[in-house]
Parts: sequence; C-alpha cells; structure tokens
Amino acid sequence: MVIIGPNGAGKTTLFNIITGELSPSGGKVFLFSKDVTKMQCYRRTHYGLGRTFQIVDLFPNFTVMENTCLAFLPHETSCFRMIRPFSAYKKLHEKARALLEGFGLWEKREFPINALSHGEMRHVELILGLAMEPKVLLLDEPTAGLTSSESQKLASLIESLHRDISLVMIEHDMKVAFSLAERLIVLHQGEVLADGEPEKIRANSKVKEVYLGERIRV
Amino acid sequence: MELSVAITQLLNGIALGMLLFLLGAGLSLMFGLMGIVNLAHGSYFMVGGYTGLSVLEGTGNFILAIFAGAASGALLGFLTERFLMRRVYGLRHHEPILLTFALSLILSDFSLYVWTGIPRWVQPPSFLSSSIDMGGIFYPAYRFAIILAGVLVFALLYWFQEKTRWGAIVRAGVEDKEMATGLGINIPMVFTLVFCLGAFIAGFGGFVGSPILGLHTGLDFEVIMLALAVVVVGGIGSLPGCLATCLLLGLADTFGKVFWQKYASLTIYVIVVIVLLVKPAGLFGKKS
Amino acid sequence: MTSDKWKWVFYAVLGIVLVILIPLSPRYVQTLAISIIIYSIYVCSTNLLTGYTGLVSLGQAIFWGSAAYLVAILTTHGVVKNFYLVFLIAILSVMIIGAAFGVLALRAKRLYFMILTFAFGHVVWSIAMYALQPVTYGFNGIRDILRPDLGLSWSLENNSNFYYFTLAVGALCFFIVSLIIHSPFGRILVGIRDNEHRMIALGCNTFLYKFLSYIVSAIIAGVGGILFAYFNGYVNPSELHWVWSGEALMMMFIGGIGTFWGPALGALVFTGLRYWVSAYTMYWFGVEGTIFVLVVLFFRGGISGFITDLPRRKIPSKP
Repeated sequence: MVIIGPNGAGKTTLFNIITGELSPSGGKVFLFSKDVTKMQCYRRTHYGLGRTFQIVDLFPNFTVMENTCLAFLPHETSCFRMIRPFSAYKKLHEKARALLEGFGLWEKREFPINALSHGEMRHVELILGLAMEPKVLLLDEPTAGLTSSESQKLASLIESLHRDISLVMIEHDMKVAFSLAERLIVLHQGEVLADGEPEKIRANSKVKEVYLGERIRV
Repeated sequence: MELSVAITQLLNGIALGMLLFLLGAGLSLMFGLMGIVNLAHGSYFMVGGYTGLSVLEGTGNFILAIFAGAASGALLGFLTERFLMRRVYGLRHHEPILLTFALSLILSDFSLYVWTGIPRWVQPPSFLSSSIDMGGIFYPAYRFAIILAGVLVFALLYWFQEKTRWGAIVRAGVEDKEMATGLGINIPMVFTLVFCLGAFIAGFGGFVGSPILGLHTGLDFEVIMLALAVVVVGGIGSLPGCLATCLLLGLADTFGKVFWQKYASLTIYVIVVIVLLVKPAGLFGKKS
Repeated sequence: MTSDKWKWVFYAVLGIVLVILIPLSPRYVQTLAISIIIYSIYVCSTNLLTGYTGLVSLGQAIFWGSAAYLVAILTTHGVVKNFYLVFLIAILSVMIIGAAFGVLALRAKRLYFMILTFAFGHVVWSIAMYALQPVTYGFNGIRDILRPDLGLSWSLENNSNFYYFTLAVGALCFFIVSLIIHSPFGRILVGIRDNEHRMIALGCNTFLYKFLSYIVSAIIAGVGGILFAYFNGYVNPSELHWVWSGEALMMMFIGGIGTFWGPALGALVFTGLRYWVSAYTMYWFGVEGTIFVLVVLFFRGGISGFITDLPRRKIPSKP
C-alpha cells in the first residue's frame, strides 16, 4: 500500500500515530485486530510493527555491521544478559550477515556508517527496519534524496522483499509509487481523498486537481 | 502568626524573590536561547558582589559600586561566551555544562585569592539605611529598594524583549534559531549579548543583594542551585512567568524558614522535584 | 608486534606495577595508589552512566556519600560492627535510593534529568548537613572510622594489606563493568546513548535499560564510597556535594569518556595532580578548573583518545 499526497497532508503524522510517537486526538489504532492505541511505542514492534524513517536515523558511531546487529537486539530475549560477550551470539551475527549480503553491503560491513554514500545509508535504513522481522513495515519516503537510478534500485529491492511482509509506503516519487503499489491512498489535509488501484487513482480528477501547482517528480 | 510578623515575612519573601529574579532571569535567558545550563552563573553573581564591595570600599560611592558590580558580571559573561562557549556550541550537550562547571571552580578560587573567604557584609548606603514606618510596622528601606529594583529590572527587560528590535531578535533566536539565522540575524552576536545581559543582571543582583545574603566563599555554589531551581520551576520562554516563579520560591523559602526550620533549606528543592515530575516544562514554560 | 602483543605487554607491565612495585614503594605512594584505585571505581560508575549510557548526572556523589556515611554511622555509633553486614546494608541502601531517584529522574529528558539529579543531590546533602545532624555531626563530619575486620587473620590496619584489598575490589569492579560493556546489554546502552529514538523504534524499552544502568552505577559508586570511608577514616558532607559529582565527570572526561581505561587514567591524573599541586598552593580548585577547561577545549578525547591513533570511536574498545 502506498500513501501519497501533497506536503502537509499528514502522511508522516499518520505513521507517527501508528507507531505511537504521537497520540491521536480521536479514533483507535489496531494492529492485527489488537487495539494498540494506548500501547507504548516500543511495545508495538513486538506485535510485528516496523518502521523506517524519512530522514536517515542510524547509529553514527557504529559500523555497518554493528548497526545491523544492534537492530536485532531488542527482540532477542537474551538482551538483559550482562555476562556473555556480544560477539558470542553467533546466530544473531549470521542473520545480520544474511541481510547485509542481500543488500550487497557485506563487503562494507566494517565501514563506519558515515563513510557510506547517501544511497547506501538508505539501504541500511531499510535493513534496520527489516531486522525487526516485522509483519508490517512502514516505509517513510525510502527514496528521499536519491537519484532516479538509485531510486529504481531501491524500488526493485523493496519489490523483492518477502511476500510475508505487508508494506505501507509513503512516497513522493510518483514513478516508484505507481510501479510498486497494489493499492494507493491519497491524503490531503489530513483526510483520505482517494483510495484504490493505481490506474483508478491516476484517472481521478480530484487527485489531479490537488496536485496542480505541486511539482511532481515523474 | 501575628499580622505584623506575617507582613514582614511577606515582604521578606518578595524581596528574596526579587533577588532570585535578578539571579535567575539571566540563566533562564541563556538556557532558553542556547540550551546551556551555565553552572558559572552563581559565580557571576558572587564576583559582581565582591567587585562592587571593593569599589565601595575604594570610593565610598554606592551607586558607582552597583555599576561596577554589574559591569564585572557583564565582562565575565562576555569572556565566558567569547572564549569558552563559542568553541563548544553544537557539541554533545554535556561539554558546555562541564566547561561552565570548571569555570565556576576557577572563579571560586579567584574570588578566594582576591577577597579571601572571610564573610563580608555590605552596608546599605546611608540614604537607605533607615526603616520605613508603615503604620506601626517598621520595614528596612533597603529591602523596599530591592523590591523596587527588581520591579524596575523586570520592566526594563520586558520592554526590551517585547518592544524593541533587539528584543525581537533575541525572541526570534529563542523561538527558532535556524530560522532566525536564515533571516540574516547574527546569531553569534545575539548569544554574546544574551550572555552579557544575563551576567550583567547577575552581577547587579550580587552586589545589591549583598547586604542581605552576604558575601562569602561558597556563595556561588549556593546560589547556582537557587538559579537552577528558578529555571526549572518557572520554565523558559516567559519573563512574567519567571518573575512569578521567583516570588513563589522566595515566599516559600521565607515561610519555610518560619515554619519548619530544620528542613527550611529543602523547601525550594521539594518544590523543584514536585514541579519537574508533574509539569516538566515548568509552571510557565512554553517549550515542552 | 601486532596490537594483540602490545596488549599483553601492557597487561604485564600493569600487573608488575600494581602487584609488585607499588607494595614495595614508600608509604606515601601506597596511600596515593589506594586513593587512585578507590576514585577510579567512583569514576568507573560515572563512566558507565554517562560515557556508555549517555546520561549526565550531577548526583553520583549521592551514592558514594551515602554509602560512606552509612559505613561511618553504623560503625562509629556501634550499631553494626560486622564488615560484611555493613557492606550489605550500605549497598542495599544505595540500591533503594538509586531505584527511587532513578524512577523519578529518568522520566525527564536528558538536560532536566541532570538538573533533577542536581536537586536530589542537594536534598541529600542538606539532610546530612542539617536534618540528621545529631547522627552525622553536620559539617564536622564523622571521624575515627576503624578499618574493617574481614574475619581472616589478615589485618587491614596495615596500609599494605589494605592496598591489596582495594586492588582486589577495584579489579573486580572493573572486570564486572567490562563484562557489562561487552554484553548485549552494554551494546544496547550505547545504542541508547547514540540514538535513543531509534532504539525505541526498534522495540527497545529504553527506560528500563537506563534505569538498570543507573542502579548498577549507583552500586559501583557505593562500593567506592564504602572503601573510601574505611580507608580515610573520616567522612564529611563534601562527599555528598554536587561538586564531587562534577569532579567525577571531570575525571572521566580527562581519562577519556566512554572508554574502558578512562576512569583509571582520569583518577590517576586527578589524584596525582591534586597531591602535587596542593603541596604548592591552596588554590587547587582554580588549577583543577583550568586544566579541565584546557582538556575540554583541546583534548576532547581525553588521555585515552590521545593515545589511540585510530579515528576516535566511542564504542567500547576491547581492553
């Protein structure tokens, strides 16, 4: 599902309410039929909710590998263990390796995170989201700041993601949005303007009206 | 409690509140604008007091001494900002705090060296050394003067902040630094100005308050805690709120000493803890 | 030589100095060494909380001082004489105080957390100075604390023996901290330090981790305080004062924030300098402040950072 809409429509706000960073002024949030409206932010991830951020939000003092491994930790039941050294947790390291290899970043695993290009950092951003092994993954403008070829690359990576994960994506890049979406929702000023298959949305006159005057990246 | 005692204590509380305002307004401004907790602020207060004392002893002129005290505060503020703080803006937030802590240690020993640690009490000037008769209740004229001074400083600050262009610039800087820079406002200069202004008021307060609080080693460490209490309880972003908070704390401390002497010094801190837990932004805080 | 070989050389030298050379040195060196080790335990606790978890606290002195005062009060007033019981009571008390203050203070954001710890610290100091004066003797402090009796034939009255005792306790503390730092728990603490927002988004209950870190560092500071009371024989309210908390932060910074050996290096430099400078002038605060200003401005990595040639990384480097 892809959510599009002009700036200020409330797309990121919607994500923030779903993940719990913001409280809704009304209404409820349900995650797999469970009412999570009052649930604390961190607990929702344990019910299968994952998220990536529009502005890359990584751990600046760690390497690529360390960033990835760290992302697995909160879901490991053993993280209150203070005795065994972290390096001894082989299974976790293997999972991290698998993810990094899938994104072609295994060779750069010892690089400090700041040494990566913006495109690679966006890949790590996605990796952190996937490390949570979510059932629903919210992607907030995953292609922001990328060149069109980098966007294409990331889009095909997203497409190849495991079918078991439900993806909800906010996008500004119309090409990516329309190519990936099975269902498209258009938000405008906090309300749903249109909701349906890409072709129907493309033909919707109200949507075109709202986007007039907005620069559309196609 | 007798009425006359109550009124006297009330006025004492207000006077103390005014001194707290002189102490806390500058820190509040610095904290609001730069997010810096300046642990040397108490030192500005104390050094201002001592400098004024020296000038008073040298010239016998109380008014001149006031200016000297305030000016020394401003000078310290300028030096702090220009040579220390400027280098650590934007770093992890604990470096500025530790720098100001180190500075407070330096100034503490500096004061000890110049003025020795012997407690000193400044005498109010002769024209304010009498008591005013308020229908049977006698109250020291000097304390009245402090209350007036506090009101005056508040009024000037308020006028500066709300009615002048410089005030608007500082306000813009407090509200949204990046935007203000984007609009061409010279933020570094604003920072220096705020530092100097805050320290100026502190130095002024240090000398003006010395007949009541005295001057001794360790005063700086005592008053910085009070100043922090003001910032935390009052919140940032509201000058009238700061004044109100100071009056509240001044009254609380004064009446605390009357009612539960053993724990009197804790009154203010209990309030701090309660406020921080119930309303973390402070009673009048605008930023959350 | 590979860096591993350098490590072993370092350990060998350290071992020789600590275990053989110092006990053979003149008395004043031993006394200094004991102080340094005890202080480094204190700074180690601060480093865990501030260097690794990112929480700046001006209240660590609460735990050091409370533990020290409990030792003083219990032993001099004859309430409890058994060392092990005194130790247990002191540590438990520190845990309770830490839990109470932690629950309250950690709800606040970083800067307000610091101010809260400051306020708590002042409250505790005031209580010791004024409210509990009959027991604590106010600013006079408590004197004549006797060395503990371990129940072995080995007496701690002798400074040489006390040195070995302190060394053992210190080594144990550092070893435990080392385990913590290298464990998943420690990794998460650093994650919280560097990007708490992301840690929450990844499903981490950051409050709980910060809370545990606060308690553990309170305990370690308490251990330091206990040793101090027995070694010094005298405690006064300055052990509870926020300036002492600030000095812990300074020592940590001088040694290198967020590094394993930082606390020890910082305590070494601080104590050594204080000993040396105090022989010449009474203005130690001024000197201390000046040094620290210079370190913050020009040697932000502290001594550890200076020694390490690598681009400075704040993740735990394997000792």
